[in-house]
Amino acid sequence: MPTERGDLLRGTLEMLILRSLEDGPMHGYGITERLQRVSDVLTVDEGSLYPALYRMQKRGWLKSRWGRSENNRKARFYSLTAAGRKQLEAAASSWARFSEAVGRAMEA
Amino acid sequence: MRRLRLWIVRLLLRDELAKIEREIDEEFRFHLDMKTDALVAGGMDPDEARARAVRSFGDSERFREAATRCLAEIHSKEQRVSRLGWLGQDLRDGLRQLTRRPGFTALAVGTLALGLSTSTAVFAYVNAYSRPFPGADAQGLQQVYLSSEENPYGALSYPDFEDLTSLAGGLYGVAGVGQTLFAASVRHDDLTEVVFGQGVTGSFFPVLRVAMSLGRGLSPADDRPGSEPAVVLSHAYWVRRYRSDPEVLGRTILLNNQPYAIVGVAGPEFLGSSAAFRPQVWLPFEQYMRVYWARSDTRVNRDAGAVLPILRIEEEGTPAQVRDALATLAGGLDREAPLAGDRTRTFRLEPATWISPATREAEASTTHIMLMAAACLLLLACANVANLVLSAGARRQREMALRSAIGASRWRLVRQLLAESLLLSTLAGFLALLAAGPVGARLSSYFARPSVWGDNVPREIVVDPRVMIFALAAAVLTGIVTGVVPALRASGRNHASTLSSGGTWASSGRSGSSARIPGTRDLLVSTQIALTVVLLFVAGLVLRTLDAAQRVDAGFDVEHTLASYVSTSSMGVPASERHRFFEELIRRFQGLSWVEGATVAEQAPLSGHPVQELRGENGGDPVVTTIARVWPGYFGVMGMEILRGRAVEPTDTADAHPVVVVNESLARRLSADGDAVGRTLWWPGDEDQPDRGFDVVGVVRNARQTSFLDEPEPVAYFSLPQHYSAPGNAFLVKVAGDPAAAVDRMEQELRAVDSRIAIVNILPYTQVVRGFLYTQRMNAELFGVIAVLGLILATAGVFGVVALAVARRRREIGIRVAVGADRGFVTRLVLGTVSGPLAVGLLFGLGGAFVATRLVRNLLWGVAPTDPVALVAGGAVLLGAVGLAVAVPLHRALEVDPVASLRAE
Repeated sequence: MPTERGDLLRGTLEMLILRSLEDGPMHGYGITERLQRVSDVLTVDEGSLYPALYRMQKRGWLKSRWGRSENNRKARFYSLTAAGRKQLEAAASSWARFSEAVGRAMEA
Repeated sequence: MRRLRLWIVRLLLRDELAKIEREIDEEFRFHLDMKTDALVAGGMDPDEARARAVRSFGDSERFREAATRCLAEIHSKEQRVSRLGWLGQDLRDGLRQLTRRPGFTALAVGTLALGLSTSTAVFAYVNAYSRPFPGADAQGLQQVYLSSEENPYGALSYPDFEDLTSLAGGLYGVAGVGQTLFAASVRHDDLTEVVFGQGVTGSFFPVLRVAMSLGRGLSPADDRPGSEPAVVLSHAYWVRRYRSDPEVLGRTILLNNQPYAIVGVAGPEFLGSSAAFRPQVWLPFEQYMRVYWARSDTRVNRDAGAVLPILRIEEEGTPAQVRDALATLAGGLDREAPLAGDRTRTFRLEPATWISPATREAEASTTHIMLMAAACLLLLACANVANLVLSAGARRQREMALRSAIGASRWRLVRQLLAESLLLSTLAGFLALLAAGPVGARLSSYFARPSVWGDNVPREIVVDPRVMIFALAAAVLTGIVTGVVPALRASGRNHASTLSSGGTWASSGRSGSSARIPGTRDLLVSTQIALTVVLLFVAGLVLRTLDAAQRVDAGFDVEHTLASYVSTSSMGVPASERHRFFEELIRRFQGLSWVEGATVAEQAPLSGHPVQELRGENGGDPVVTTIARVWPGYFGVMGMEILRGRAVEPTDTADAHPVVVVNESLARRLSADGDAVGRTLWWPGDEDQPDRGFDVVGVVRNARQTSFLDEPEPVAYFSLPQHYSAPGNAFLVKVAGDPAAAVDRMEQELRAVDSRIAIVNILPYTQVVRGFLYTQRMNAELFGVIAVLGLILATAGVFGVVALAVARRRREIGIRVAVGADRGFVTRLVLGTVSGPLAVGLLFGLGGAFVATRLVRNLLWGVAPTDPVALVAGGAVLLGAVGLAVAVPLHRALEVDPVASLRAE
């Protein structure tokens, strides 16, 4: 049974992955590096990124294909699907709504 | 549950899972390498960097497990999707395969289309029997017949029909149609013509719910004694004669010089209630009975069939209830108004169809054989295409083997080959639908046969939804039949050996030894030969029938005589003047340079005649006799030989003693030795009149009087001047040249006598005879074409098998020739590839032909079903064609150059 914190973490991780792929395809290690610059969700286990990537692929948010990395090694590249992009927009707007609600509460 | 599914997925996807795991490992390794490299770049010791990278990655085993599960689920989902979409995928693949080989595709589609279009056209022909009336609300219409053993679909007498109407009791509505068509002359301002009409009760238009183009249908009010004479025109007649003038309503039309008010024009679709004829006018029954019924007592006579009733069962009623009511009515009538000769009534209820059930049953045996022949041709086409697919399959073995190697299941391969043949056959099915229209029209045109009374109506053979469904269903079935054998064969191959051997597929009988195992191809060839033998045999019989029918001697001069029927009904010639008019007509024509002779008869030969029971003087059994009334000189003009006594002479006038000339058939009935001259023939009288005796003055050679193919029946030729003359008579002219060229001249000459003369038809007797042979001609063409197509398909099949065998054994032939084999040996080698299947096919074909002899009997005329000529001719044609099919590849085999063939390897 996943904990509440687990769910929250997982949701945040997925949104961060989506956001980091917004600019174009990246391999898993590249995503790790990018995430570590903006957040601490991956400080525990870097490997936990991969089940998340596959899960998101299963949901149809991501697609992957094999390509060549910057140092010319074979690597799997992930990119957003249309569904993934939509998911990113939805998550972003709900984040914005949440922020707005917090803002109002503070004004009151 | 989830674990179980995963386990099953793993089991099913063992290979795929291994691949997934390999990929995950590779991805993880890449991650670790990158991390290590980054740490080393930051100045860390490589080993320490590696350890650090692994540590910060976390529990890689757990992640791999989670990742694998996830990817396996993705994979199984894709599999489900592809399983749902397999049809589309297979069809797409199939389409790609077919467009890649346009020659093969065209040949296969064309072959299947041949078979399918014949089947579809024949089905459309059969389907026509069950089609209801066009142009009316035909749903729920039923027809009632007086059914007896000799005539299951007889007409009701007028009084019985009246009782049927008055006892309906709200259960049904009844319309009545006159059993026979009538002809009437119509006088227009500029010309006089003959139209055909039908008498219908006032309830006819309301009960049938006929759609009208203009005005109204006839109503019950029009059908009362003393009503204003009213008429409804057919759409076709209105367009042709009145140029679709909407002002025609209320105008008067002169039918046989009697005025009728035009009250309506029927809708364009409505062509009458019987496919046998298309009335141009409809009259109220009351008018029809008064004017056109020959026998004055028909209105009260319960024994004279006169009316065909059409019922519309009311909403609450069912056919079963109506059937009960009809049985009750029949029982009541038998008690209160019994029929002559203790006959009891059986009223038979049938769904109303445009083609009468009597016609359907009379033609049923022909129809069955047509269906069987079409099915045979379709099977032949299937066999040919199956053979084609097999040959193509041999070329595609590498593709199949590859697909199999990359994990396509056997079922997947079968599916793909089936999808291809389904595509082929569906395409052919659409072509067949396109072709069925013209082929159906060709068949229907045979029914528009010429006759003395004008051309008959073509049969309506149309492609309706039922025909479409048939064509599509037949196409799908054809696709499965064609595809299943090659598909199972192809997929059952040992693909590994195919790949490793460089790709030459074993063919049946390929092995170097002379022992042959019968393969699919041999079976197909045998089937084709057997079917073709049967088709050729039936076609031979039908062609022999046509030949025999065309050789019939009509007994009069068919080649030089023109038939016509002319009427004075629009000229107002009084009955007493008619003899004089026709005598003058004969004299006028005999004075013309191009006329060799002209004569008049009440009815033209080879058309319907009245029939009467006559007695000889010794009080023997009455003889059912065809009654002809002819002008003096008739036998001379018609070229009929007087065997004994004399012909009808100009002296046999109304004042002279009444005479009769009998034909051979009647003479034999009147006297044992056939010499009836001097005897008396008695015409029965009634209460008012005693029997009338006629001196038999001559015996004339038998001629076909009413029907061309029936054996001559007893005929009595009376002297027309000694009898009442109807307003119209047959006018027969013998010409010096080609009768067909004299038709127009004859019409001009007749109109020159009086512009108001009504001409029913003018045509050469050769045309009349042709009209009588329409079924024989149609059968000859249909079965002939089917047999020829079948022969072509079978020949192509044999050719394909032999050519393939020669091509495959080129090398063997080359070696054998090189070591000294002679041409005889090579010939035997090539013939050996087909002789077995040919012999088996011939044997089964002969068996089939024997079975066919029982079935085709009804199609034949003047030819025995076991006709040896048909069988031998069919066999010879088949052997000739097969010989040709073998000769070409054989020639190629004999030309094999041993050196070249070996070098080619």
